[in-house]
Amino acid sequence: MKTYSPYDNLAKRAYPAILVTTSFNDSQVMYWEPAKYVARLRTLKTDSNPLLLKVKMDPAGHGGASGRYDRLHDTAFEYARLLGQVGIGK
Amino acid sequence: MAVRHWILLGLVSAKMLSSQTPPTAPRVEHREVRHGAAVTDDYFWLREKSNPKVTQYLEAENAYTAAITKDLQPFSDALYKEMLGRIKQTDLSVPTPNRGYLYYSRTEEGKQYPIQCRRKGNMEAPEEVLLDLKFEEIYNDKDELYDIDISKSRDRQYLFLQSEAKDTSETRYLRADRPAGDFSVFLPRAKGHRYYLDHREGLFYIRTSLRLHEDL
Repeated sequence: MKTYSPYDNLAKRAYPAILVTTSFNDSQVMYWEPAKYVARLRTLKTDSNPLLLKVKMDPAGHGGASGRYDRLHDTAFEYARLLGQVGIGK
Repeated sequence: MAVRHWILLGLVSAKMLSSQTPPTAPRVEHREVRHGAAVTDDYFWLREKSNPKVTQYLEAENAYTAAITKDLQPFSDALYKEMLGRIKQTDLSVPTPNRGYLYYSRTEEGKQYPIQCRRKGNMEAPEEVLLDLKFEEIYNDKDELYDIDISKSRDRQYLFLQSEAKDTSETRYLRADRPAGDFSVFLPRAKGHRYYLDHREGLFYIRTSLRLHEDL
C-alpha cells in the first residue's frame, strides 16, 4: 500500500495543475486525506502550476452534494476548470 | 478623509494579495510506527475535525480556490445550463411490476430529489406517493462513522434499518404492514459486533460475528 499511497509518494518535483475536491462530512474518504495531500504537496512541488483544494463544508457526502441540481453545479465547475486549463474558456 | 481612504485601500489590497497566495498548513511533528515501519506525518493533526485550526486551514484553501477561479463562474454557469438543457427534468423511471403494483420514481422540475411512487394494477390508477425524499427523514444516525441502509426480511414481513460501521452494526426492525410505526432496536450496537437479521415464520434469524458458545 505504501508503494501506491498518493500521500506517501509525493516527491520534490514538478506537478501539473491540480484541482482536489472533497467533502468535510464524507464518511468513507475522510476530508483529511485530500487536505493532507494538498498541504504536503505545497511544500514539495517545484512548479508554479495552480494547486487548488475545494472542500464542501455544507452537508455533502461521499458522492458530493446529494441534490441533483447541486451535484450538476459541482460537475460544471470541475469541467469549467478542466477545460479552462487546456485553453477553452467559454 | 484622504488618509482614511489610503488606509482602507491598503487593507483591501493586502487582503486580495493574501487570498491570491496559497495557504500554508502549520506543521506539527508526529511520529508513529505502522507495521514495523517508522512514519513521520507533520499533517496528522488535520484529522482533528473539531479543532478550529483545521476548519481555518480548510476555509483558507477554499478562499484561495475561490480567488483563483473567480473568473470561471460565467463559464461554469454556461456549462451548467447546457448540461441541464439535456436533462428531462420532469421525468419518470420505467415502472417495475411487483405483486400487483407498478413501482417507479419520478422527478419534478426544480426539485432536487426524486419521489418514490406506485400505482395499483396499471398506470391509469391513482398515484400513491411512498416516499418524497425532500420531506422524509426516517432515521439519522448521529455517529458519522455509520452508514445506514434499509431493507426487508426475506419473508417481506419486516423492514430492517441497518446502521453499519467498519466492525460494528446495529439493526432496527418494523413490521412492514405498519410502516408508519417506530423502528425498534433489535440488539444495541457494541463495538466489534456485527450482526445481520432475517425473519421467517415468526422467528428472527441472526448472523453474528460473536462466538455464542465456547464449544462452537
